[in-house]
Parts: sequence; structure tokens; C-alpha cells
Amino acid sequence: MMTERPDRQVDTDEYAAQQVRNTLALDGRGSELGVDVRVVGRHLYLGGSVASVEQREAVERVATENAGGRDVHSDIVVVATDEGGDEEDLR
Amino acid sequence: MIRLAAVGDVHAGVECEGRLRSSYQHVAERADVLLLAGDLTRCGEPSEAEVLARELADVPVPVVAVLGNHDHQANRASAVRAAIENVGVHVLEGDAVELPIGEWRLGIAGVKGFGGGFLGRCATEFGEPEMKAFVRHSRETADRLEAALGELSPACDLRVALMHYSPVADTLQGEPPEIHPFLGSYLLAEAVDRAGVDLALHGHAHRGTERGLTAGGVRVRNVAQPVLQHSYRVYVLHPKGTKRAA
Repeated sequence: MMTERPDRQVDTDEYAAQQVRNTLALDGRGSELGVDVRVVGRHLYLGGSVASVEQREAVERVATENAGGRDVHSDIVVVATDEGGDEEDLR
Repeated sequence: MIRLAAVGDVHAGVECEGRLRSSYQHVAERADVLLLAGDLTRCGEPSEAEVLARELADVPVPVVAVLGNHDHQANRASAVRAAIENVGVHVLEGDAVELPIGEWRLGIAGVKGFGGGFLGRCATEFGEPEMKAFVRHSRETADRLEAALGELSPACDLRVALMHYSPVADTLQGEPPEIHPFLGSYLLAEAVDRAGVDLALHGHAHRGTERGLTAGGVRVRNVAQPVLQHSYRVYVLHPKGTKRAA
């Protein structure tokens, strides 16, 4: 007699977020390892920094395609191209 | 004094054409040399490296770089390196360069580095071939860094170690601790401390923090661009009275 297995929740927020992270890393449009991905229920949140507006849009597009219909919210910022940050004097 | 401008993880894509030049062209007003701590490209494609090379071509100070893991993604690291070198950038991997900066001589040794983890929480060259290969690569890259630092001439007034992966956990604060073994290796810090350097620079840890210290007392700076949130940071070093780790 087989032991009855408890219902297993495999479609968890954590698995869904990791699947999007993996896709972002390996999809040539994204190739981003540094983007933060969190899933909370029907919502997927993106964070972190990328090099350009186009890259942010590409990441958001790939994430949306793989979000399983969740609403995607992006807080990704584009790193500033400026004339450098403050100087640090190392004595 | 010697002024180093440094940044890592530029992740240049083909769409970056013309956008980085303005940042780097003015670097001579603030620094004597520009150091790039790996992940020059997003996918490791030579076309991306060529875009970055064009952005760097007119930079009026010496540029020294190491490659990062992204620069290996397309298995075309040699072509990426060649594209960058083609515009006069010194790309280091287990070797070193010495630059005259005014009255001073600056020595820079560089490697990509690798993961493996940090003291008390690191992988060991034991067990399956895959694990041995992982840790062996980490050890070998640290050995190459130490050898390169050892090749710098005594005439160097300042010595800098340039890496992509981190030598210390200090500068990983903000990253999940579980992934620290993929972000750096203490073997790099051990090489830095044994050889004695004035500053160690790395990138790779986007969610990390900027400042750290090796066990031997060498300052470490994480210059990943997402950490700096600027095109680069300038570090001012003073050749006289600099500290050498024991």
C-alpha cells in the first residue's frame, strides 16, 4: 500500500522568481545576473542596475514574457554616465 | 600622488555606442590612469568589445583592464581581449604593467580571479572532478596574480592588484551570503597580502559595498558600477609612506 503523499505546492513564488532569474541570465536579450527578481502572488518585482535604457527595456520584456501572466513592476535603474563620483584620498 | 580612476562591470552592449565616451574623455582632468575591473561587455561578444574600444580609443590617460565572467559568456574572450587591446588598453591576465606617472612609477598586476569562497566558508579541491576543477581554477588564478605582483620591479612606487572577482567578503556585504562562494575567493587576498600591494580593486558584486580590507591590512575597493552609481571613482594614492602588508 502506497503512502499517501501530501499535496505539494510546486508553483511557488520562489520557484517562479528563480525561473525568471535563470531566463534573464541566459536569454541573449538580457544576459543579466545582477537583476533582482521577487515574486509575490500575482506580482513580479524587478530591481537592480543596468547599463542602458535599452537594456532595462530588454530585461523588462524578457521578464514579462516569463512572468506567467503576473503583473511586472520594475524598479531597475540605469547607471549614470557622468564624470565620476567623489574622490577618495587614501593615506 | 597618483590618481586612479576605476570602475568595473560596465557591461557594454552594442547600444552603448557613443554614450560612454563623454565620461571617459574628461577622466584626464581627474585621474592619471583608468582601471577597468572586468565585465567590460554584457555577453562577451566581440561586437560589444568593439563598441567599448571605440569609446576608449580617445581616452587621454593609460587604460588598464581585466576581463570578467561576462566577457567569457560567448566563449570568445580572446577576441574580446584583442578588440580592447587594439586601441591601446593593457588587458591583464596573470601579468603586469608598469606606468610612469609624473615622477612616480605605478605597477599594476591583474587577473580575472574566480570564486571559491572565504576563510571558514570555502570550497576545497576534493571529491568529484568538477569540484576539483572549480577550486583548481580559483587557486591557479590566485597563483598567477601573486606571480605577476612578484614580477613588478622594485622601482614601482605604488602597486595595485586589479581583479574582477572579490578577494574579501567585506565588499560583498549586501549580497546574499549563500552566493559569496561565487563572488570571490580568499586565495586572491592571500596572494595580495603575500606580495604586498597598496590597493586592491575588484568588481562583480553589484549589490555589495565599496570598502573592505584584507586580513593583511590591504585596502580593497569594490568598483562595480552599480555599487559606485557613477561612471568611475577616483582614488588618490600617496607613494611616500604607503603601507605594505607583512
